[in-house]
Formats: sequence, structure tokens, C-alpha cells
Amino acid sequence: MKNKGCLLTVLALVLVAAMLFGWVKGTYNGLVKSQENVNAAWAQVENVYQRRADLVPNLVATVKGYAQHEQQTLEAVINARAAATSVKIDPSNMTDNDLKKFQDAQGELAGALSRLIAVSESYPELKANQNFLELQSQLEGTENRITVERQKFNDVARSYNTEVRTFPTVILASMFGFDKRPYFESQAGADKAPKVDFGS
Amino acid sequence: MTKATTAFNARHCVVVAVLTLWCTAWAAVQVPARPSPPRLVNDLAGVLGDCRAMEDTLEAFAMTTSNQIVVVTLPDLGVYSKAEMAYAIGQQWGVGGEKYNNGVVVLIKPKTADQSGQAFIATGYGMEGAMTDAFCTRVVNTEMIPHFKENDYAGGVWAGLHVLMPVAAGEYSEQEYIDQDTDTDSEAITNAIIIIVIFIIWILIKANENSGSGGGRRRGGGNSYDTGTWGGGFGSGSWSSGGSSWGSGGSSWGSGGSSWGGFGGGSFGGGGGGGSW
Repeated sequence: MKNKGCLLTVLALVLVAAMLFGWVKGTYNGLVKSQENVNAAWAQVENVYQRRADLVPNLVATVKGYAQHEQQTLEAVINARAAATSVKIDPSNMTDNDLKKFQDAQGELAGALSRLIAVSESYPELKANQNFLELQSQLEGTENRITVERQKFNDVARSYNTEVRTFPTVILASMFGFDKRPYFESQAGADKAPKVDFGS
Repeated sequence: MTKATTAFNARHCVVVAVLTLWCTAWAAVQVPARPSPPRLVNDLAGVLGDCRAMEDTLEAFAMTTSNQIVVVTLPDLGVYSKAEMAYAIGQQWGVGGEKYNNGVVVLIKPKTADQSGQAFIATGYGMEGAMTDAFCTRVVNTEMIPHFKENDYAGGVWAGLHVLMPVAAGEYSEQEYIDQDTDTDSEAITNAIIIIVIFIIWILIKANENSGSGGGRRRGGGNSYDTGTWGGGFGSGSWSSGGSSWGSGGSSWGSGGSSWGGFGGGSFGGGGGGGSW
């Protein structure tokens, strides 16, 4: 009789343990998956910024051929590119400060590039150059891509942050060190902020 | 009595009219909803005229190459830039396949008295290799806009499509599409083989049982019975199902329905190029 009660208690404990295990497993794996999504979105963001940086040497070389007097503007672009590509972020422990630094450096480059494009307006021969026109359209396309990927990163990071901070997931998230991820913020001037929410 | 009813009706009409106006004004600045049933040519600005030929061409193109090219004309872009609108349409409609992201959106906002005309070609992630931003810009500026300037919108879109389609077909070829298709075919074949093997084993077991209880004559009868089920049951069953799927494909193609399969959930990354006039 007493043995039977013991057995029941053990069974109940095993059942609770199994349920707890199931919950921890599901939640933890879900968090890992969301975190990987954030990392993947970040990789896309870096991709498109890298794409812009890769356009710079060609663009500078083309402009140089027509506008030697714009040495200062050209140097500003080259320096901004070097600074921007040197800022690397580890997505797995990214802080607000890291992202701000990254954004500032990229904003510098965006500003320098837009000044270069503005300057080139006063060189009709340059503006008629087919190579320059193609580079310009690729630059525009890359800026569009940057806007899109930043937006996508923010969306993914937002859903991850919501997940990490809602109860009861928050208990496990703080236990296993799933931290909140920073967002891109719209910047005044240099880097054009996404004007509209694409929803999707 | 009748007077009151007319008065009520008139008021009703005014309310409806105001609501409709408000709705269209509001809808003008929204990304258009995905068409249902799905259509590849969406002449929302009403400048392309009869676009059945274009729809058929693009549907046939989608079926043979799996690349989806969507043509959209809009009377107004609202707060969006042409690139943002084309991207948003592609992303929200899910133009192109989910696996290959091979969708293209050709967006045209006709020129009006107080607004310039805008055109943009947005490419899905999978199309960016074949259709670079510079290429898209060039197609818009050299193929399409000259026609648009003469108010020949259908001609401009056709001119653009004649350049876009071969390039898009090259990026994701018919062969790849066929390869992708044979994946499911081979699965079906495997299933069929398994069923056949089980069937043969079952026949052998049955035959053994028969031979155990009877003589040679009965065994022979059992065999002929087996071939009978082979020919009648399995063979005709698989053929008739094949035939019916072909038939339904043919009929929906004829009626211009969604035989191309509808939008596949492709994703866009902001690539593409355009121009204005």
C-alpha cells in the first residue's frame, strides 16, 4: 500500500520532469532558431554594405578621369570607405554601441558618395560616360538594397526581441544568455531612413 | 411614400459615392492588393488596352521557364518612390518561386499633366545575377520610355519584355525547371515501385497458398487471374489519372485561368533600376 503511493509519486515526478524537459527543449530550440534568423539577416545587411564599398574603387577611378580638380571629394570617399569597411561586428554579441559605430561609419561613406555624385553633375562629359551611368545606377540600386535589408533586419530583430522578453520565455532566455539585439535607427541626413513601412 | 424612398436612395447614393471616392483616394497610396485570381498583367492605370495577349505570353513564359514577370501600371505612387513601390509589390505578392526567388516586377506610372511618368523594373533575389541594376535602368530608358513618351504604353512594355524575357530565361533555364520537376517524378516512381513490389509479393503468397491446396490446373488459372488484375487494375488506374491531370491542365490553360500556378512567394532585395520621363 505504501509502496504503491511511492510509485505514484515517482511517476508524477517523472511526468512533471518530462513536461518540463519538453518545454525547455522547445523554447530553447525556438530561441536558437530566431537567433540564427537575426544572424542571417545581419549577414545580408553586411552583404549589401560590402556591395556598396566594392563599387567605390571603380566609381572613383571613373570620376578621376574627368574631374581631376575634385581631389578632396575623391579622397574623402576613399577614406570613408576604408573607415567603413574596417568596422566589423560580431552578430552574436552585438551591442547598441557597436551598431551605432557601424551606422556612423557607413553614414560617412553615404555622405561622401552623395557629395561625389553631386560634384559630378558639373562635368557634362562625365555625366555622358556610359560607365559612369552604369555605376550610378548600381549605386542607386545598392542604396535601395541597403534600405530593404536594414528594414528586414529590424523586423527579424524585433520579433526575436519580443520573443526573448515575453513571459515565460524570458526565464530561459536570461538563464541561457539570449540577449536583446539592437535595431537600426533612422539617421538624420547622410543615410536615408526608410520612409515607409513595407508591412509584408 | 415614393418621394421619401427616392430621397433616401439619393442620400444613399451620395454616401456610397463619397465612400467610394474616399476609398480610391486612400487606396491610391497603398500597395495594391494581390490580384485574385492571380494575374501577371495588372493594368490598374488602364493604359495598356487589351492585355490578353500580354497575359498569355507571360503565363506561357512562367510555365516554360518558371520565371514570373509581373506588369503593373498604377495611376499614382502616393508617398512611395518607384523603387519602393515595385519592391513592395514583388515582396507582398510573392512574385517568383520561393526556392529560387525568380520574380520580376515591371512597374509603370503613366505621365499625367502635373506628374512625371515613372517606370521601374524590380528583380527578385534570384534574378539579380542576370538582370543587374544597370541593365534594368538601360531597358527602361532605351526600350520603354521612348514608346511611353509617345503615349504608346503597350508598345513600350512589349519592347521591354522582348529584352527581359530572353535574359530572364537564361538565368533560370527550362532545363533546371525540368530537373526540379523530375524530383517529384522520381518520388512518384519510387512509390509506384514499392507498391508494385508489395503487389508481387502478395501475388506470390497467394499463388503459394493456391499451389499448396490445389493442382497444376488451378495454379494456371491463378496466374491468368493475376495478369488480369495487372492489366485492368494497375495499368488503367495510373493511365486514367495521368490523362485527367493533363486534361485539367489543358482546359485551365485554354480559359486563361491560373494554370501557371500563381505567385510562389518569391522574395525581393531591392534590386532593379528605372527611369522617369
